[in-house]
Amino acid sequence: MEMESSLEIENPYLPRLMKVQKIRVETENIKTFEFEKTFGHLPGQFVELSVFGAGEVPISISSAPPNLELTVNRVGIVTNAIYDLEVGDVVGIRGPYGNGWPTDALRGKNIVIVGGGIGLAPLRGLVQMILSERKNYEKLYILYGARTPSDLVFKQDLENWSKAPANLFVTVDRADEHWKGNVGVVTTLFPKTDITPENAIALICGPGIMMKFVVKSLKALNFEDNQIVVSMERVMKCGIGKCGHCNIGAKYVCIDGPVFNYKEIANIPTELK
Amino acid sequence: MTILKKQNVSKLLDELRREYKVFYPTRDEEGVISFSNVGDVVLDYSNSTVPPKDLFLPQTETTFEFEKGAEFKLRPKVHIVKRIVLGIRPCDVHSLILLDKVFSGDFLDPYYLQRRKNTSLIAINCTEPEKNCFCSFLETGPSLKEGADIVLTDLGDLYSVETLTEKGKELVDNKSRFFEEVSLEQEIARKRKAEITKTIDLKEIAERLEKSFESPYWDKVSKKCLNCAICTYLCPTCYCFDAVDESLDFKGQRIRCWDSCMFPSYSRMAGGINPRATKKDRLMQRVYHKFKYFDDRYGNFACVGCGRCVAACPVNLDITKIVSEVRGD
Repeated sequence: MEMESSLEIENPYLPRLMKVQKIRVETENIKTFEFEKTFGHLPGQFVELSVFGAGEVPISISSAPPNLELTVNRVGIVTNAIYDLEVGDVVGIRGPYGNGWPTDALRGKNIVIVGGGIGLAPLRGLVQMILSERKNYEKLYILYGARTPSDLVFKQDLENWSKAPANLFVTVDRADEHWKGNVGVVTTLFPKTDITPENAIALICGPGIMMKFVVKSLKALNFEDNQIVVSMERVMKCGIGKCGHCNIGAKYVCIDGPVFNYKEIANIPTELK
Repeated sequence: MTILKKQNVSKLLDELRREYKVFYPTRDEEGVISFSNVGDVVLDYSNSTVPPKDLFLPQTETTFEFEKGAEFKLRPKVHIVKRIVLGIRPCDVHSLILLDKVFSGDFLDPYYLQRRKNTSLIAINCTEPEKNCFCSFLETGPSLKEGADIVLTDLGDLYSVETLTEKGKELVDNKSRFFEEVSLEQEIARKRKAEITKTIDLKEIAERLEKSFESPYWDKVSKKCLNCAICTYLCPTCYCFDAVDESLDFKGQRIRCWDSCMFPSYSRMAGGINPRATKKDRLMQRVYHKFKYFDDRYGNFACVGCGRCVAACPVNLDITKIVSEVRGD
């Protein structure tokens, strides 16, 4: 059989091999994994992370460049395999993929960041970036909610941000005996702030239902659709717009998102599920 | 006009097989027609039961092998054998033109594109469409103007031969002893006109779908759908795939295989939330993807009018009826 020369194209499905360098325990089910700083990325982008033998999943990058940190919640087969990784273990990484947060559009603006649960992960790199060049931005609000105090991620960061030039508000749905902070879903934080839509952009990431109510609260404050930016989660098998899984209407979360102006997806009925 | 006598087809096949892996329609004992490189060639068929898309996007394939150990190894498995597909119908050729759009773009898919590059297509125009064929409404048939290297037209005991690409012309030139030249009048006199009887109303379909997201029509029409996925598996333009790892000790492979938007697991996230939790959501996704989303993204409907989904549906769901009926009220 005659063989024809192979196409001279890069294989986008082949992960690069990288070693886990550090592991930080966030909660009972969530860990942050650090890798070598060889990746250029934008805050809000994601990678496809493989544990060979278990499979591959999309994971958002939780650090600002040049650091590469991935924060993973064990919820399925692959993420459980990730959870069990040890320092020195080899994983596969493809990416970075997706568009990331609209960082240029944030300059000179009042910024409202709203995170729910592990949804703070893709926002953390953005906060780090804003704090590292703080003078380029006006007011910074960070509203973060988790189910219980033990579900709060990035506790050290929250501690640091509370001392940084930012307005940090943290709440939990259900308190425990040690909790002295706010209790209630994340939208109950809005009345405690002086957020106005003037010169503002809100950036949200969390469970669909949480984002739906945050959008509602923002609209009650007279935010326009185009002042609201969301980062979406969907099933993905390729990360590069081929496998079909992550569509929201005609958009693919992997290559058109994961960050969308709320205006882009507001009229698609399945948007915030 | 160049012609190929039907009696010479199997001799031509034998000749081509010396240089290429040749796939052609075959019929099994149950009458199912599919493309294969073994068995007897079948040319008296309207269309294959199974589309030839699996020759480009196999139902399962290994994308790479991995080997753990002191030195970690990844070995990609890209297919590079020269092939010919003989007997592909115009609708299925058009499905490949649509799949090309998906698998190229900013990220190139080497598995699909390598197969496309190494495969020549010898299509056969349709002269006897089936009752579910509606290709003429999608302008993908019954005759082919682009997408194949060679197009044959059935003229009784011979085929007229048309070359559409340089590659097709070379192929005919290299095998010239199987082909003959005859006068044009003879060809025209014998040409039969294909009759498409099924219809689909595509007028303002994008607008009609846009207005129908909340329509109770979808509850009604999705009620009998079994979510069996046969429509998507037999669809020559459906391309969704899953990827899973298989491994034993230190060795394993990543496999990609067809997936279907008809399955709940297709969109269910690991945390348990499913944006398309009901069969109504999933049927809507299929129709919207084919007649709106794909068009928004790539500028074509993701349907070539082959009618396989209509023919194979166990509960007689008919996408031509849905598309023709759906209204924004």
